[in-house]
Amino acid sequence: MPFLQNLCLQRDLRARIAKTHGRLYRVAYAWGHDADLASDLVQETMAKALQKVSQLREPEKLDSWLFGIMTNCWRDHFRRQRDFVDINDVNLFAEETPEGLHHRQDVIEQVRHAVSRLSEGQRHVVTLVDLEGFSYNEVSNILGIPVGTVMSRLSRARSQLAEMLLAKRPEKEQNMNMKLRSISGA
Amino acid sequence: MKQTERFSNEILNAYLDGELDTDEQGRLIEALNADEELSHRICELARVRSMVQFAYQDVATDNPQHAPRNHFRRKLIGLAASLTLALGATIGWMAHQYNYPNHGLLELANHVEMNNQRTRSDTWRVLLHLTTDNPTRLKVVLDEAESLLNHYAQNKQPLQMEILANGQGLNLLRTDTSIYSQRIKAMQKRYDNLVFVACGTALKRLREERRINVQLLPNVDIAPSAIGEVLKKQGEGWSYVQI
Repeated sequence: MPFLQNLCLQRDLRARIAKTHGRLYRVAYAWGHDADLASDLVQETMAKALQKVSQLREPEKLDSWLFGIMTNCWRDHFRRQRDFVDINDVNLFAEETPEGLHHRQDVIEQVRHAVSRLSEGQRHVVTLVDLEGFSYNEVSNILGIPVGTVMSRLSRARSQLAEMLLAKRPEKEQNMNMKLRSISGA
Repeated sequence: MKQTERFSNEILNAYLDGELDTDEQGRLIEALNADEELSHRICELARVRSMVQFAYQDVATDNPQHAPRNHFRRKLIGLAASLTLALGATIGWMAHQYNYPNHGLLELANHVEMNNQRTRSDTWRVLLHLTTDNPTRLKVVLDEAESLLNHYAQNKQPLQMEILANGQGLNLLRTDTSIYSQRIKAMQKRYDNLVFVACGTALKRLREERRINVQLLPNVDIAPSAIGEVLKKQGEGWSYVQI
């Protein structure tokens, strides 16, 4: 591609990257339920994207490319901290304790709490599909996992959310005492 | 055998997300007509999906006042510093990719400054500064300029281009020395977002020191000085390429 036309494409891509800030933040927040972490992740993602934009070979795949960068930033963040995290040791829902939420009627808080209790892998898949509308193939590329794994994690995620959120009585909420791997979820 | 046993949760989710092919959709829809439990399962999945969407629709998306936490700060500063080099890296990459038969505009360019700040009208403005009358280089410049003008016109995106000439580059715009007078005339007619500008200081020097009364091609503007024009345009947010 001629040099000046390339400059023009780079400029367009940079503008589109800047516009994606809000969407990146929403998903980052859904992943960690921590506003500070989400903000940091998005800033790091956008800085890396602007730096590497010249390497993007298919501009039409900009969105999944960006979320792929954010996935790597997320994994790097936790890899720096610890390799293996027990969900009972980490309060992913920074503002509220599960016991406090148990009696809350607010649907938003209940849903966010339920999402936070999913394994990391399930949480990533269900948020990318439900909040961003990515296809299963796109999610597979973003997270670097097979499409079959995307489907099984999504299926288990929605089943568990249904169990937590659509149960008739709060006492039926399962005690999901599962180990959470911070790098890749089950 | 119950209809619901034929369809796994993965299939039901794929149906909900529009991921099934036509045949699979058809079979499922047919089964739904006869099986209430199947409908109930899909309904539950749809409810869960809408609850997830609902729970995050008001997540605050603008957080400009927030400062990064310490353990990210060093990394972000490092990245910010490297962004100033990123332009160089970008140009380096493009030089590698650029494949012009004899010479690339990048090889020929003495200086490039790309301005990514958006102007109020969101028009991209680019100033090509010619200081050479080398025929090969002139052809590259005019070819690339037309290519860019066409690209923006086809995509209906606003672009403003100025080709500024001083020094030897002025020969392109003189009636007695230009080798592209017809082409320039055609370009001026075709692109109303393109303007050719001659350096007034260079014209004055030719007139006073070499006693040449320069005649410029039609519709060529004159700027008081090339340096002044470059600084003015850069201050206004124009991208700049000097050849």
